[in-house]
Amino acid sequence: MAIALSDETLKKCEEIVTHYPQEWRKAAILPVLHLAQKEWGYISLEGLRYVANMLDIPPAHAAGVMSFYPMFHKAPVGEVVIHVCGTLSCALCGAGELTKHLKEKLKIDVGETTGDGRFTLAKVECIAACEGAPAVLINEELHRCVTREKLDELLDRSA
Amino acid sequence: MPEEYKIITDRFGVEGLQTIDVYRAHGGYTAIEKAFGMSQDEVIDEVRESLLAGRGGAWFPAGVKWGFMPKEPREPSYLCVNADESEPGTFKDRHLMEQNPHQMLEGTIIASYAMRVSVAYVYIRGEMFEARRIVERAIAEARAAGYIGRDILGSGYDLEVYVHPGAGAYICGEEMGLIQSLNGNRAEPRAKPPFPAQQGVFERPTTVNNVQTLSYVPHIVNRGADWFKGIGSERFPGTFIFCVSGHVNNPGMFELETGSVTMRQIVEDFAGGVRDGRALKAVIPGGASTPPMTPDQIDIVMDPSNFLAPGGGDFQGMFGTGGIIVMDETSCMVDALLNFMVFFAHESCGQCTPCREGCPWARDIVWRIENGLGKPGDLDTLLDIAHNVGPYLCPPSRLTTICGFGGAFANPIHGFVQTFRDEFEAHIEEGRKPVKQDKSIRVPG
Repeated sequence: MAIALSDETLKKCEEIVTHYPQEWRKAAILPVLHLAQKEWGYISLEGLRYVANMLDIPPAHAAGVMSFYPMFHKAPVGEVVIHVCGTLSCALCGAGELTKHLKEKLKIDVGETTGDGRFTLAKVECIAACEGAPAVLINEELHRCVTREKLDELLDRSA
Repeated sequence: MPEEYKIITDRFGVEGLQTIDVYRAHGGYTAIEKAFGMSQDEVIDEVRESLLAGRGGAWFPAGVKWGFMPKEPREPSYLCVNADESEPGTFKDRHLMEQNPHQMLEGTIIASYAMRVSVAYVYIRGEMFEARRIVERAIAEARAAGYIGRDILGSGYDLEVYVHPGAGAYICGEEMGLIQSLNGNRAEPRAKPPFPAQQGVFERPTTVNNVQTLSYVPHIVNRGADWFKGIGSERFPGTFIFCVSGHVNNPGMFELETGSVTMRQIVEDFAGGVRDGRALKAVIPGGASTPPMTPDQIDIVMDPSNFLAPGGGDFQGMFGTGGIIVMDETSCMVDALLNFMVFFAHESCGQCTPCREGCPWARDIVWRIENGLGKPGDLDTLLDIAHNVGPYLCPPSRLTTICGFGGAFANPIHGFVQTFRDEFEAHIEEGRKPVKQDKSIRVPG
């Protein structure tokens, strides 16, 4: 079956396109890719072509844009994506130990997904929460001052 | 001890401040009424006279920037709010949006009116989901109240405001990178001229302003340029938000008058000093792009004019974005530089050869040194790479890259290697790490 977006998402996309001049539909590519990823979980080549068609841009341009931005996944990821901030303030306050804890707990490396498709472990560069180092982003939710115990609790809750 | 001087963080913590009703109960949206009673040029003049300077780090006078925009636009023109905060150590814009979104929005609407733009885009960093939700809600409220849309307050002026989410690229905080990204392209900055005010978003006149800069605007309109000029230093008046993180007892952000406190006071008095009674080793003054300062350098009064960049001051350093990262005696300077080099290698847009090739090359050399595999000559190679992108703290005109990213990754190399050369050499000569690091999980309280 050909890939498609739900009517609800399509409606949102059509609204977003109106934010930009008619001849600049391509300006909507980032917000539309975000919506598509929310629905599909990741952006496949087929999905990318679908978005490119919607915005009247060459698929190669869409691929160039998508591959530039770290937030878009080219392959399926876990239901729960854990981003540990690794930049200096968080690194000084224990981000490395948090990552080590997660690697042992989930038995995966950074950039990998657990076999059951539940968790993906990733690194993120400074997420502007340095006062709450170490900071962790779990799906769309930011958590500050994260310890091993707090992390365990958060993962149990999302399990 | 000096105290905080709160202008834009003043109402932080007020229950429900994110809603338009509470914001109005605290005097919100009165500046808009006043501004719409003035001519557009009068608003620009007021901001120009206030000497409000861009708080993104460049400290370029906002009123002058606004004056570059066409007075009688023959085509639509645009304002972009730079909310792509991603300079390591900086977290003020997130709080300005999450805690008082209407203040930023009121400033955005006034700036838009003054510059006669037809659409304002708030370019919010993709990972800031909460800020995005809050700002989108605030925009909807402001639209319902008649501050956004057609014929605002009966003035005949039409404005739309939209949120545009980024997707995790640091370079989108660069003015031209942001414009390219908003245009639906890879965020590869392009050379100037043409300047954004001539050709920016959708190849039309555009101004890009930082969240913090715009948050001051309602206050300046309400209380006047003279009031603002009376606060802080003469050349860069007003306040600035310093964000302190790292090895301190009380990490957080502090709104302080420019030119009123020393770096030592910020670290010791406001941020509670170095934790565990340990000794201070280094302070990053304003984000990853700024060279580190040593304990004997931190009695400097924190005003942009005292730093070589941007103020041309005596201190050979950069003022930066206010993102202060404090490191105690257990910090390894090679490890700290490696952390930044990993960051820059990840974030280089890849357009210009010195940056695309130089960042990973520098990262790999620093990695080898940190891991006991350093070779004689490594430090000279590192400095040579940095020098090829831009001599230490050089003006943008001497960079070999299109945008300032080249200098941003070169300056910490120069700074760390020059200031802590002994430590780097000890790593290379002894093939081991001379500092016993403590990077255990530590949270305040």
